Amino acid sequence: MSFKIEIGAVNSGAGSSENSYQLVIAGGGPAALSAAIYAARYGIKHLVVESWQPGGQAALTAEIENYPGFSSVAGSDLTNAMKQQATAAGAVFVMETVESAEEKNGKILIKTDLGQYTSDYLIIATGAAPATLGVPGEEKYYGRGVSFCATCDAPFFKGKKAIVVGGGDSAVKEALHLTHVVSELGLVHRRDKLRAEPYLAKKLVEHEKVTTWWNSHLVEVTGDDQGVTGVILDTPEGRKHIETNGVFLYVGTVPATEPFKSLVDLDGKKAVVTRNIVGTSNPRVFAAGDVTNNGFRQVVTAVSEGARASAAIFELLENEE
Amino acid sequence: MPLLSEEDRKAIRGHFDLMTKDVKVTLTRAPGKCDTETILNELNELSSRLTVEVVESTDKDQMLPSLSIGDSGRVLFKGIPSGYEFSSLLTGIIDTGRDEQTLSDETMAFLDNLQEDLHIRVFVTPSCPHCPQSVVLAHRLAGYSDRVVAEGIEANEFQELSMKYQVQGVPRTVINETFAVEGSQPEPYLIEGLKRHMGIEKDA
Repeated sequence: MSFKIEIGAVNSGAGSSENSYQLVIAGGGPAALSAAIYAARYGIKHLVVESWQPGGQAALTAEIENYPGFSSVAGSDLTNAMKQQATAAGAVFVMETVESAEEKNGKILIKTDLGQYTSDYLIIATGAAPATLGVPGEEKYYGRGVSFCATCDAPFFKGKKAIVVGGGDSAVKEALHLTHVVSELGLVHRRDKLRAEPYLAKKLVEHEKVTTWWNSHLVEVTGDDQGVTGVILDTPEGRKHIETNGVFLYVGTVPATEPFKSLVDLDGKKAVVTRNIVGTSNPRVFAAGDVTNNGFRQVVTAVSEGARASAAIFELLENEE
Repeated sequence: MPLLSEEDRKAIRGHFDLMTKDVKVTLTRAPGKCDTETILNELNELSSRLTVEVVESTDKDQMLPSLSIGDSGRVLFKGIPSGYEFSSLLTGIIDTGRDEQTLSDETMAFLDNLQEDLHIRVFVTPSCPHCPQSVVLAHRLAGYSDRVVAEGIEANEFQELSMKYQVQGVPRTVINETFAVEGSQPEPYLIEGLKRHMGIEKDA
């Protein structure tokens, strides 16, 4: 086993003892890290408030094959490299969770679990959390067969049966990751076609370990005191009970906007409504990555939006002088 | 070839420079060199505050490799601290080498009033980015209170123990065999859950 180094989650309490900034960047994924690289290089007095999810959703992706420059890269390796690059550029991080943000005296006041900061501008790049189905058994068996992270939990299903629910890129990528480990894999999707990149979708659907359940819905997770034993599916052929040990859910995401809801306009899905890609309803607040309603949720678009947001703020600060 | 790149070394030095106290890390390992010893020796070069002691064990029942951070014997990691758990190891070293307290007043009051010892086991995998939060929190509780022992446990390496504690997802935090929580729980949630389990009133 090779020794792998991930220092992106070090929480040394380093950072800054100051609490007044030109820019606070909330988030720790690709959008925030890209914004941090640009903010540091522009010389903006900034602070990155990243929560305890270094690398965001991207870090949970076993393999990323569509980020230019890399034929295949582990999501955690890519985000770790971004953080190192940001740190080397002079980006300042604290590992705290934003609890609220509001406008006060023409500044943005950001309160975290450990402190509070005022800033001229804010970039919301807090990403999105996995959505749940709300079906019986889902919460009860979370961590005991129900998982939202194949990258983290795949080893517990070696030689066992698992199902993946979902049809997007994340579902398909993580299902492919699981095929290396499990004995059989079921794929449950509510439509008759996957939304994921056709190249990945074809690879998965044709995999010898994979059984597909099209136009089907997971309605219940069943189990005993040892954990998950099966799922009940609504299929075009009626209700079916499928034996499985693992249930991996990739049924979409919910933007992490709760602390910012009084600061910017959100859409019906709680995503930040953007103007000109990274602007928001509040002229002092910008947004980038999966937290926005920009739609195409990819690492490559998140880093682009992070860079744009910092560049826009740099221009505003220059004009203020 | 060293395990740490020059960029890693630079970043780690920056963190280690925050330490104001000496820290000893004790590695107990099976006979023969291992990557954990190599990485500790490389870390040792990055701060004069860090010392590494290596103990060889032939006890087949012992969970090896095993790391003890500091002198208390309460801040522990079982298994190879690879992947994201390398961050847990570094944070544990830095926390132990600093005087600053990061726990909340409520948590410290809870620990000050503990009437029983707590043994916290946090099961993790190296590829889990949110696991270090749980390991670091457990280590901080143990660093503060001599009634707490905290172990980060690499679940893949100790499969029998993982099965015993029904680990099918990480992080899974098990306290005194009787209380378990799934996923990364922020400090206030873990402490509130633990208080409820112990029958301690919220404002007690």
